[in-house]
This record gives sequence, structure tokens and C-alpha cells, in this order.
Amino acid sequence: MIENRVKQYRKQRGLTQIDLARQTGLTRQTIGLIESGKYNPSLKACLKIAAVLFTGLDALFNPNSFDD
Amino acid sequence: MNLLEKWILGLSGARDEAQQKAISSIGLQGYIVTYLVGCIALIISFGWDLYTGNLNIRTILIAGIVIIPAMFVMYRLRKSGSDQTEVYSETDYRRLITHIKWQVGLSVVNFSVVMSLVMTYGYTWLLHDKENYFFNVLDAITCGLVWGVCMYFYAKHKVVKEY
Repeated sequence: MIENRVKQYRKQRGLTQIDLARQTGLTRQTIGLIESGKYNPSLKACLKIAAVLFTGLDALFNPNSFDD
Repeated sequence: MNLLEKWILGLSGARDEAQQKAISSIGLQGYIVTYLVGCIALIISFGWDLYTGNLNIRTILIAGIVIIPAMFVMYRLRKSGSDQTEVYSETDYRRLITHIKWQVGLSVVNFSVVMSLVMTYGYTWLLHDKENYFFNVLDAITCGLVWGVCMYFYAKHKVVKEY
């Protein structure tokens, strides 16, 4: 799995998981899985999350933490 | 997801990517379970037909249930290229071929032993026939070898040289 700072950036923006889910078109459950590192989102989902959180992919995701 | 998939799974509304992946994974597991249950049902049904000396429509239908989806999966896998193994050097190619040879060799031994036992004890009992070890074992080994050669070339065909 890949480390990410989605939760940190989401809280900085004052969004709940439901808000982020609504704005990205994902489900709250999936946002939870992404934040806990249990699911690797697609590039499309990553871009949507980055756009909603007004940040870049490199800030959100750490590519050095791939374990597969 | 298309309407048929939603209808069969009883879903309403859109699924996001994580849910779709989970559904795909569960679907694959479901297919494997269905295939195995179908094979067991086919063996039992065919055994009963041999015992009664009458090939039943039920056995043919079960065979269709097992074979048609398997052919569909094989065809789609082949078309998508997902069943192919790419190799990028001669060393990797030779290593993979050796692995395939071992795999097929073990399958042939496994197939021959199981079929020998089934033919010697299973079929002879079902057909109320006399046990004929020599010909049963010979038949099983011949079938195993033919099956092994086919499997070897099929597996080799799926290896793609990318160098």
C-alpha cells in the first residue's frame, strides 16, 4: 500500500469524509479505506482528491512507500 | 457496471472504483466456487449414469454449465491479453519454460495416478466390469501424456518474448 496525507489535508480544508466523498464521486467508505492505507486509488481518483484538496499528487502521496 | 450485472447482483445506484474492484474480486471467487461445484456435480452425475448405463440429459446440462462459462472466461482472457506472460530476456524465457515443464510434468503424473485409480476402481465398479490394471494404467498414462503435451504448448503459447 501507499502512504498518503489525505486525512491531514482533508482536515486542514475543514472537510469531512462525506464532503470529500461527495466532491470526488467516491463513497465515504472508500475515502476511509484510502486514508487508512487499505486501498490504492486509481490515478483518476487521486487527481480528483488532489483537486478537491487544492494540492498536488506529490504532496498527498508518498511513492517511496509502495510495498508491491 | 452494465444493467445485467446490476440486475443479477441486485444493486441499485452507481458503484465507485473500490466497490467495483471488490465486486470483481468476489465475482471471480464466485466463478471458481461455481466451477468446482459444477465439476463435482458432473462427476457424481456421470458416475450415476455409468452405474445405471444410461447417459442422462442432466449430465449433459451440467457439462454445459461447467464448459460454456469456462470457454467464455478463456476466450475473454485470451482476447484481453491478461493470460500472457511477458519476458524480457533469453535467461528469463528459459527459466519460465523450465518452470512450465516442471509444472506440466507434475500435472501429468498427478493426472495419470488419479485417472489410473478412477479407471481401475471407479469405472470398473460402476460398470460392473472386471478390473484390468494393465490397460487402465496404460490408458491413464497415454491420456495424461496427451493432455500434458497439449498443456505444455498452450502454456508456452502464452509466453510472449519482448526482446
